[in-house]
Amino acid sequence: MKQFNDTTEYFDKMKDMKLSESSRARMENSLKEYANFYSVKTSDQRSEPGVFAGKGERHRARIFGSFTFGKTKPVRVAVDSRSIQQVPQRTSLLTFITLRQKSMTAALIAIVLIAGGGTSYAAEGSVPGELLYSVKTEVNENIKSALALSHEAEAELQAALVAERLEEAEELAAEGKLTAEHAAELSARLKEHYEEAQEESAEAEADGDFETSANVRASLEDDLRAYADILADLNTEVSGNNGTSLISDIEAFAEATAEAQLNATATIDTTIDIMATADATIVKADELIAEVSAELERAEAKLSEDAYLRAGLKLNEAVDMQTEAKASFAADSYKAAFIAAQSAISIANEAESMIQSMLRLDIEIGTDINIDTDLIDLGVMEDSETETEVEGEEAGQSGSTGSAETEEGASGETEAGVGVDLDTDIDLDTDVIDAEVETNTSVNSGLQL
Amino acid sequence: MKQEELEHIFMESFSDYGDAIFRFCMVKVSNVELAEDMTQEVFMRYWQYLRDGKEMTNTRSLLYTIANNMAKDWYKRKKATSLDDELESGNEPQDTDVGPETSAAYAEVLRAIEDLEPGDKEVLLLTHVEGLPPKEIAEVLGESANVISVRINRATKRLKQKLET
Repeated sequence: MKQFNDTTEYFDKMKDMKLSESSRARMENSLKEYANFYSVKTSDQRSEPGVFAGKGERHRARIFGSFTFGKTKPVRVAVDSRSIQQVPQRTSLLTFITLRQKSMTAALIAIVLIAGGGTSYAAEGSVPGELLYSVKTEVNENIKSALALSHEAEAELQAALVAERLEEAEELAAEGKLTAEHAAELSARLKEHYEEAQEESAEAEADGDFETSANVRASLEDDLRAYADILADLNTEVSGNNGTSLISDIEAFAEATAEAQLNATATIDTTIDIMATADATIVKADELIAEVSAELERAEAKLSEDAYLRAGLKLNEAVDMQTEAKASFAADSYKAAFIAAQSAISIANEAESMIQSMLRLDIEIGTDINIDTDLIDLGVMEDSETETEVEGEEAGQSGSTGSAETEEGASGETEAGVGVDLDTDIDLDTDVIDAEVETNTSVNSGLQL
Repeated sequence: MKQEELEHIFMESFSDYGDAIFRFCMVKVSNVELAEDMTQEVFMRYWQYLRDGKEMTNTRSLLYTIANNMAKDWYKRKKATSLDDELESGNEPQDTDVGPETSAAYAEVLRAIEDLEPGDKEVLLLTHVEGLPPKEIAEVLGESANVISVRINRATKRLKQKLET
């Protein structure tokens, strides 16, 4: 990063990012037209919020829908949020490439991939037993591996692939589709990635990159342990014990990782400034613990009491370990402090994986309730004439709304009214203009932030 | 309030915060044209809000909040739409008014923070470039002020490290 000498210069450069003069002028025009078209409501319209205002709006929406302002896209207002829906589509090729401007090679491969069909892209979400799974593991992941040039990058990638396999196992197990065959396949793949990760982190360590190897091992161990627990739960409940040997494999890998790290720590020689390393690790552990505890607080409402308690206990373990680390540091035994802080990080990470996974699993049960709330919201806003129609539309679409809700919940965020209303809007058909206009208004009321 | 007065406030807000919202969107989506579209959309929603006669307390926070929600929505959809669909629907990237040099310069700036966590990028921008206090950032992003302070700290440190190497 030779372009920027320090952060001040960097932030100045960032500040230079501005709308170009022409874009600004164009947008100003559009916004003016928009504001004029949606002029301030008169008291007439306010006094009869239902039918009268609704008709006026509908009329505008029709006209507005056919307008185009110069270079700007048509700003259809009935389709207000639909123009946002178009946003991701316009990103296509360009964003795809600029987002991953790692190297020219990567861009080229990306182009080849796209030109060759989006198959490999689509394959990313597949699990064992699906048609595209081999594309994901054999093509995509090998390309990623070829692009990871350093030991460090390769070790991190392999650790990430271990996590990916674990997640697939979780997904299959949660759906009750983890057959003995899939479990065996996942186990074999896990072993491969795991061994590669170990090997590469050992190489990184040999190169003196002590931190990377420690981090890779820590995240490996955390993932392995967390998923072993999750799978054990799922295994007895839903997947008919097909995962038993997979779980014991995972546990064995976790143990072996822990041991490797222990050995590595034992061989830290005096050339490494152990005091500084310990200090930095303690700071990192502090930050992580704060983060995870905030995450847990946010997730509280969405988790079952049992799940909340379990994650809380895990987090307490991390806090205890951290206290130990600080005590050792104060007593000048830096190596012990480093080891304790590393395990505090590790335990906190484990707690985080637990929270994430429990959220994912809980959400599936919560989906239906979310849809219902949507319907009620809509129903209240519609006048009785269109209510049934809208509900019909919604019910037909509930599948897709459901999946969107799931995702939203999984990321642990509570969206304001905007997000929810958008989903609703898109699900409706153009001929239900009434509904759209009403929903549009609800976008505004949703903005009480 | 009358249409003219409100429109005046509206256009004023655009000239005051248009660039800031654009920057925020850039950090979120790393694409000039997309960020421009999002910025325009943010202000349209803001107009709807003004027009409803809602009381305004903090225009800037409101705008960021709208933008943040919109970006979330965008990520969600981006995940759901496969590239295949996009290419088939003929939505090719369009030209922007920004020249290639500018685009490249922006890309250069964004590259320095590309491997930070998404949450870290926006706090860096909001705190160091736009000068928002942690409490306000927390409100906009729907996090606790504590989490934001930790993030600011961590992200600044990481960026520093990156620029120094």
